[in-house]
Amino acid sequence: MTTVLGLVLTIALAIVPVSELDADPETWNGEDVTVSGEIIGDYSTRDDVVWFQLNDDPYAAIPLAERSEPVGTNTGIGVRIPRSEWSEEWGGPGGYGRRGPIVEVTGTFLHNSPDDQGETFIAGSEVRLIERARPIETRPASPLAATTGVVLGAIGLVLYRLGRRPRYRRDR
Amino acid sequence: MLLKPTLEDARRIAADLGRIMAVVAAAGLIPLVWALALGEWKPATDLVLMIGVAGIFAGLAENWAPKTQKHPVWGHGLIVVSLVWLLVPAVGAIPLALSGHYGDLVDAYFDAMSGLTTTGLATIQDLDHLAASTNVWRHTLQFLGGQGIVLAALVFFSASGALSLYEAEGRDQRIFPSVGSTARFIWLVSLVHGLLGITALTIDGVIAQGFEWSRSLFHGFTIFMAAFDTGGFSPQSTSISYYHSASFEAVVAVLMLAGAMSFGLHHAIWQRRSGLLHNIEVRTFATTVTVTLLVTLTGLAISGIYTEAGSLLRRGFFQLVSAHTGTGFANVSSAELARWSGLAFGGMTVAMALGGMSSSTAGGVKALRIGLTVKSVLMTVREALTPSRTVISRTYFQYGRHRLEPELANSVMTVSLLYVALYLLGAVVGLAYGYGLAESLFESVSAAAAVGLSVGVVSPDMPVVLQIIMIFQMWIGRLEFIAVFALLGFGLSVVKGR
Repeated sequence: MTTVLGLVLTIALAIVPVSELDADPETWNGEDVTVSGEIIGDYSTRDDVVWFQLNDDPYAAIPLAERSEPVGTNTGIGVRIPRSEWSEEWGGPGGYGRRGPIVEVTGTFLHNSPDDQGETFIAGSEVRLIERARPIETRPASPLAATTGVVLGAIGLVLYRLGRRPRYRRDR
Repeated sequence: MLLKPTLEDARRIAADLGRIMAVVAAAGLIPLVWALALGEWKPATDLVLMIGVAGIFAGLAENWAPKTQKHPVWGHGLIVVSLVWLLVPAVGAIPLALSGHYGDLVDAYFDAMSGLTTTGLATIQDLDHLAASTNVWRHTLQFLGGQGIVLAALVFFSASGALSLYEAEGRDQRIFPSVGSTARFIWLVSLVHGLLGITALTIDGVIAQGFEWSRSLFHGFTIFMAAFDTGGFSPQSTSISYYHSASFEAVVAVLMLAGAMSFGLHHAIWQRRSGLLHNIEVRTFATTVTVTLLVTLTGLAISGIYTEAGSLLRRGFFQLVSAHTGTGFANVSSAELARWSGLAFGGMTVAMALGGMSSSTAGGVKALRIGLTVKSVLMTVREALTPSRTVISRTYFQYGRHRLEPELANSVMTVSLLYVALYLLGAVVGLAYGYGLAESLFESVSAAAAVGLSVGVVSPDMPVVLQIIMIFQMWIGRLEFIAVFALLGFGLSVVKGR
């Protein structure tokens, strides 16, 4: 499943990586583009539009919790779409314990847009849901860490209390 | 002749270290509660381990050095503070390292040091999927560091060496005769700002941005701690540009400026004292902010990056305030910031190097030192230009008129020059690794002045030597040199003393 998704994210025709937009924004400014990735963080619903952050980093294909080690920082871009394009059925945005919905957004890339107080973002006109949000199995809690912490903390507290006692009581 | 420290010296230092570690353990309860409330069990167990390690450290130290008879001296405070700022990041890095979001232990320690020193540079990976409680811990580290972790301990413990600890942490301005009262006042100011700031940011998040209440509170809580303590960590990877909101940025800018003001100035404003604008520190800060802002805006206008006045003012003003206050928030991407060349880049770099006011949460050379250095230079020039019998007034105004003694002038100039040397150190190492001069200098100043803005050098892939140099820069820059020199002297006396 993840391999298929990875393929969709990386080799689908006409999909522009955000890193390419970042590297040469002047060239892409005002162009119609399609980007694909994971919605993360929050849905910012304002009047007739919805803002969200779309990450197209490797974690969109395979979340960190399903990897053996991290593979770099996040890369993404802000997206603004008409509210009519947004659906609650996509599921909640990505975060701890949840891989956000994977979507394909088609719209205009705007760099330092003068009509939007210098915002750089994609004014999306069409959104296609690739995969709904899903829970990610997070790393299991560590009973060893918890037990060690509790034992160390308890010993520390006892030692601390003993150390704070007045000296004359210790000298007797 | 170097005198070898005695066991009593070590016990005295251990006693204070232990008490400060107890504060760290208590602070760990904040993200722990957050983790338990959200059911983030793995981060919760990591935090319990961290609290346990801090707790056992506190217990052992307190038990080993109970009620020592040795009266603390100035050097003890300096050594305690310099050690605290090395050890607390080591303990604070435990939940970070166990989160799985760091490539190695150096990365986790780097971020913990960056948090505690309120720098804001980060090597964390996949921040956008980090547990909320771990995020809260990163920001709590910033809050502890910004307030001065030693100061936190002074609120809870009446240490007999309070003055030496207080001043060793880079605060040279007591607001009340007692250090304890001063510490409590500083925390009161922070709590009031916290209440107002978190409320304003949360309401903005709900009303202007349409966030859910719980998420808005999370953003408000974390961003407040990073803004008021001029830290710059952000709960999302795109910093403040994540919010796409001018009103949110306006609230954050006010908090950053409040954080860069000295707590003495906060007190004076609360007392409605007059004549504050005559203070050399206030005048210097206002002047340098205005000049660097004009330079940056002029540079941006010339470069043509922003073609409309509103865009130019919003981006330029926010970034400059973020740089000058040493916060490090960004409302443009790193790649975009790297394209700010010429005057804009210069204005930003100089603003970062200058920093905020003394006895504030900001880093950098600090406005008071800049003001006194300029005044001293001008006096010297005037003395050279005027007849020998002319008397030149060597005074300055800072909550009253003071004489600018040669010793004070030498002291501020020495520290200012040490900052310049520290800025150059990181730049030279960056150059040695093949980075360009501008980006090397920018990142070096950003680390040493505890700012946190980045044009891309700081990353999980950065050379480890450069990373360690930056850890050193953050540590020594935050402590303003003297405490670190005292620690080096202490180490030397252990080895070579009699």
